[in-house]
Amino acid sequence: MTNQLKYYETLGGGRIQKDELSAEELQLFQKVLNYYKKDPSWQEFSDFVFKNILNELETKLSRQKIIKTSIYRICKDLESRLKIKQRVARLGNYQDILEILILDKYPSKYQFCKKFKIDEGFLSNVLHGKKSFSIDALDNILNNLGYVIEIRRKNLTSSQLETSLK
Amino acid sequence: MPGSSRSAEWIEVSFLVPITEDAILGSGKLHDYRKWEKLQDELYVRFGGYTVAPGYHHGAYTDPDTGARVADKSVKYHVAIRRRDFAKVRSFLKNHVKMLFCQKSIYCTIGEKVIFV
Repeated sequence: MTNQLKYYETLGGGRIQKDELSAEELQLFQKVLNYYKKDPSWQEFSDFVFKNILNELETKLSRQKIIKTSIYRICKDLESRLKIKQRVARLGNYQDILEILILDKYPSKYQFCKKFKIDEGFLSNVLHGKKSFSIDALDNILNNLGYVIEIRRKNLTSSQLETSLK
Repeated sequence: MPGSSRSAEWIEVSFLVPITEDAILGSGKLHDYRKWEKLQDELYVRFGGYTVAPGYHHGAYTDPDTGARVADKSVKYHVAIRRRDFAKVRSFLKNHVKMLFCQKSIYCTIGEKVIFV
């Protein structure tokens, strides 16, 4: 989202419109983007974000509100790109998202399986890509977790992501 | 110091998160980037912040279930908390981090004391 771009696209395909950022956030974005382009380690980047972005935001917002801001989401997304590039993380798939949602809403996978009457071994196979839920079963589970299945454009490839930030 | 108590002291808690899932419990693969985002959001909101140690921590241990020697590479997080809040950190590591990152246990230190959560 430089002067030419109208939006920032996250790794998960979410779009943050340039209009959503205040003038101050745009300045912070430029600052963080300039640092990102120096190709720091993700740990250095994390430290930079704390010192230069979060400390600034904390003078006005609570931490609960900060993590919902567009500038925070962009910083986290840039950090994730570094993690992927530096081979510490990977771009996951729907099974990873499902696992995160389950653990967000239930104390354990066991509790989730009990609620949906799913065999724990079967869930484990699904999460490891060895078996699959039917679309209807997945739709039902996601509905209960407060989500829906959506068809969207494929993510940008890594090289396209890098190019879009230049 | 008047009015202070041991439970109000600030202490540093550190813990290691292996960069891959446990090969028996999980896939042995790198974690989805969203899991790291989730961990860091939670640390920030629950405990006010964290520091990531530079580089990685390489270690090896004997898996108690298989008896096999396992080598791993971990990220080290430091969190400053009030001593009285240690139970909250421990519960967070046990109920969230361990499951989210698919680990048998999380190596955690407070000063020189080591705890496997």
